[in-house]
Amino acid sequence: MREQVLESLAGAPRLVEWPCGGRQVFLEPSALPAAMCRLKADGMLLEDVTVTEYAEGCEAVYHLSNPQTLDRVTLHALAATNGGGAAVFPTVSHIFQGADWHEREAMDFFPVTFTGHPTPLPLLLAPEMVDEKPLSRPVDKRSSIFTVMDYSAVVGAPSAAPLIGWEDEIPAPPPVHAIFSEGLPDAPGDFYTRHFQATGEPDRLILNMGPQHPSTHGVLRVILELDGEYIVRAEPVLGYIHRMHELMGQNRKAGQFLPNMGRVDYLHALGWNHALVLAVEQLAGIEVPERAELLRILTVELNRISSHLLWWGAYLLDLGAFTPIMYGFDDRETIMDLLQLATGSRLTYCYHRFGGVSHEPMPGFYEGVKDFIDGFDARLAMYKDLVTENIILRKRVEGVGEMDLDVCRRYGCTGPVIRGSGLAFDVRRAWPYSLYSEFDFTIPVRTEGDALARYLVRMDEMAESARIIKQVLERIPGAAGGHLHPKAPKQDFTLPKGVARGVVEAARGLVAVEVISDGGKTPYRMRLRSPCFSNLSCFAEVSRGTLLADAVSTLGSLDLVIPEIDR
Amino acid sequence: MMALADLQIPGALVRLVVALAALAAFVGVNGMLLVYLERKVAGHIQRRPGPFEVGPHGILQAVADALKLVGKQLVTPNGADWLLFWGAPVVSFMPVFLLFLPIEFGPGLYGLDVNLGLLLILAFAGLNVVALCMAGWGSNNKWALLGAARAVAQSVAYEIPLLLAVLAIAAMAGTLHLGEIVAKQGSWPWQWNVALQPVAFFIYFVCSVAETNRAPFDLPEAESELTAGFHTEYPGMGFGLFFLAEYAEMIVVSAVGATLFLGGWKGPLVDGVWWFLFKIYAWLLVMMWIRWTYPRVRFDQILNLCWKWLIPLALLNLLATFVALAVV
Amino acid sequence: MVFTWLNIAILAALGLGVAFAGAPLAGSVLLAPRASGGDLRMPYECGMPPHGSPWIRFGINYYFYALLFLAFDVDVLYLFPVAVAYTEHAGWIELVKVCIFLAALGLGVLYFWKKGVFTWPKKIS
Repeated sequence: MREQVLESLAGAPRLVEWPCGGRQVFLEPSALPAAMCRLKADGMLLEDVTVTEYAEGCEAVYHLSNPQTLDRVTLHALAATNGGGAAVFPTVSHIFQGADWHEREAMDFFPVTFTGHPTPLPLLLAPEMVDEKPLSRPVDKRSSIFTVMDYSAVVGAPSAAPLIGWEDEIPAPPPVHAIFSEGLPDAPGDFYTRHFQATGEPDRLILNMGPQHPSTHGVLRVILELDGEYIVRAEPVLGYIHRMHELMGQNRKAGQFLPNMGRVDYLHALGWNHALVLAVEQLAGIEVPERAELLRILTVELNRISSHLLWWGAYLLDLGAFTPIMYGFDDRETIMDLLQLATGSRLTYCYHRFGGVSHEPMPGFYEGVKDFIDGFDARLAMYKDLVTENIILRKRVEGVGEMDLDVCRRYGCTGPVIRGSGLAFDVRRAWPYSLYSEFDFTIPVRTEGDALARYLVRMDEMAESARIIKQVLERIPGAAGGHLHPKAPKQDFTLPKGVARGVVEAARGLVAVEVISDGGKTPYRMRLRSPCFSNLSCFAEVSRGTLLADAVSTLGSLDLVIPEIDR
Repeated sequence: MMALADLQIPGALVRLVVALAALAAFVGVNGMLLVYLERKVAGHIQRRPGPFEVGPHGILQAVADALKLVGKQLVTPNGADWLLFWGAPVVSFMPVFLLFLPIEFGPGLYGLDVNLGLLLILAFAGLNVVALCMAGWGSNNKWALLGAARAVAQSVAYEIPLLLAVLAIAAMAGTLHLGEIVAKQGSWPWQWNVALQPVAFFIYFVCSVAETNRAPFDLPEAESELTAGFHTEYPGMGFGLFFLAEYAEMIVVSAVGATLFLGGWKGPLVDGVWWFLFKIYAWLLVMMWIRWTYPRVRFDQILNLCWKWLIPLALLNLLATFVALAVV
Repeated sequence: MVFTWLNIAILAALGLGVAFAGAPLAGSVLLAPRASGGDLRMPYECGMPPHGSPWIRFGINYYFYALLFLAFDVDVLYLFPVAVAYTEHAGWIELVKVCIFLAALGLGVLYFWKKGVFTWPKKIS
């Protein structure tokens, strides 16, 4: 039976050629847990769950990738919405714990339920808005799934049948908490504190850390149950800066959606820019000239350095050192001045265009970048001397917030988090996009998996980004083409039918923008996969039983940007 | 009235009144000055100018801050214990002048001639812990409660190595009178107690940072963990008083430190009060320098640093002192 | 208890401290606005209504440190008179006595160390 499953997964037809490669598998919803178990045993990492509503029902797409072998598998499951009711999928949150939040998010936005989900609470929407299902369309506005993709080859194929033998290997989902079966306790506090599943022991403090807390870097809220200084349970509550970017993506043309990307992650805006233009360029088959690619890489890497510098300062602020952030901002200010010359803005950049970038940088940009990069190595050395080698810092981060590869896989952690846990998984090398394959840079890896490992990975990454920038500066004078391809379409062009997914490595990890178009004026669905979302989802598990100070240190080492989590 | 009749020293009374008035001015001025200095030092360490708008080079910034704090509403949180809540800042400020009284600022320049001066200071400095505990418990706030619990554990723990370090000096001098301790030291740095008791000096310095809850030992108010620790709920002047008391205590610990280890008002060439002030400010600047340089330690680390390192070290140091005194 | 000059000085200094602290507070009462209503008086818990009272008997991990302090502080107090009188009466007998006293203190630390009071687990289960 086991072999049959392997075959069925291996032999599934490819539907859409995606640049990242990967197999597309269409399953009955009931077969999802079995397939997930199989893929988890393979060492796969659950990147994202995209739910889309079609005329036929709701489709759940599970994007998985193996950070070691770089295989990709995408599972598609379609469940009918019976007469206006909810589409039903089985939960996989007990197999891939990262799916917990993805499923809760889908339940907020779409009329779907994931049966067996242990905590079916609203995640991003306010509890009183939970019945609105903002991404659900009226029946007459729904497109058929067949206009988007050529599913005809697989729909109806008995792909689910061979999976049945796997059922005894599926772990049983955890029992639903008494709160959901017996109703809420009559207690003060708001919706989430009342639903907080306290362990029920006496002498415990239940405490809100956030949304207005200095070390949650924005409006993240974590409900804590404290036993003295130790955290017994931690439960992040999201959604305080949720702006429904995915709905905005459906309401406007792809070109008009470009400025939104800078608002999703304001620290690495150009990374998100890049993901969206990659997706649209794949979908519409737009070419990009070499010079424009180089300009993209140059600005994205500069932006990555500035993002890491801000993280560095803010992390040390979390640890109680006030001065480094000012030094970090010193360098960051230079980068922002430079990026202003290139992009025209200082924080929420919108520089990339379909087919290139919006314009050539202003005069003085290349010289400025060269000066900055030449002096940057000395700055990094100074940061190492002043901060990284400090004994108090070492004692605060060494062995703190340890997460192994298994945690990263189960929760879908990417970026410096997984690289700090011992895997050189970087999209720039894994599935090279743009011209990254032509540059010489290494991917910093640490095997310890603690906060120090993540810290050092980011510090090394800044040096590697500087190396890339140096190489770009050498290449750019002789690069072919202009800043925009001559055949690039107007920026507000109508997307052709189909699906495309732009995957890039942003400062915080794997960013994916999935564009689904039914040929209408605006995209049918715009899915934003945020790395912070998955990186944070492991916090509840990693922080359990640790000291409050260590939890703050762990939280900071994940490099969270709350607007990116909430989107 | 009987007690007053017993007083046969009206000169001492005059001295006390003058001293208290002078100390009120001294603490007020130096508190303001230190607030300004701290922000300027922080600014320059962080490569920015610091306060620059109010007055030339921002020297009136502290005055503006004080006025602003006075103009803020005194909000008592719901369910707080009013007496504890508002008693705490007052209690934290209460012993400040007393702590200065036995200190000899210059030749003959002291408020109270008391032969147990050192003991008096050490005894009343402990009152601050009570204030922090009152503030944390009275606030009806969980962060404040955690901060208060930390404050108590930390302050009491560091009192022991502090006492042991001070005892080594007291044993050497054979007195607890601060003036006599100064008198037994010479004018030149190698004649100061720091040359004879470097270990005690080091322990005292670490404890002085920890006892005043300064970074890297500012755990009771660790703002990235406990928002603002024990003074989370204090608005305007309530916070201002804690702040001022902290600075006043910093001056006290550095003044006592300068007296015990750095020869007090004695210095090369010309003895006098300026040497004492210079030493106090040098001490304070080092404390500021440390605060703006290091990250904060974790709570178990701070307690274990005390119990595993400082206390055994201080005990050994004291033992060595006793042995040396017996042998010599 | 004899009411001495020192007591008056202490009380006067403490009184000045209270007055010095009370004056700005009184100034605030006179000058500051008097807003009320809304969540102004809600205890600060990062912007959320608090869930449960802080006045519970919650576990303090450093409870033992406090006990340890108590034992130590009382003992160290005895050393003050010893220290003051030591230089005048220093002899071998006195040295041995002091050594015994300090050794007892040191053994106390060692005992608690051995008992694991100073060990904080990285993670509690």
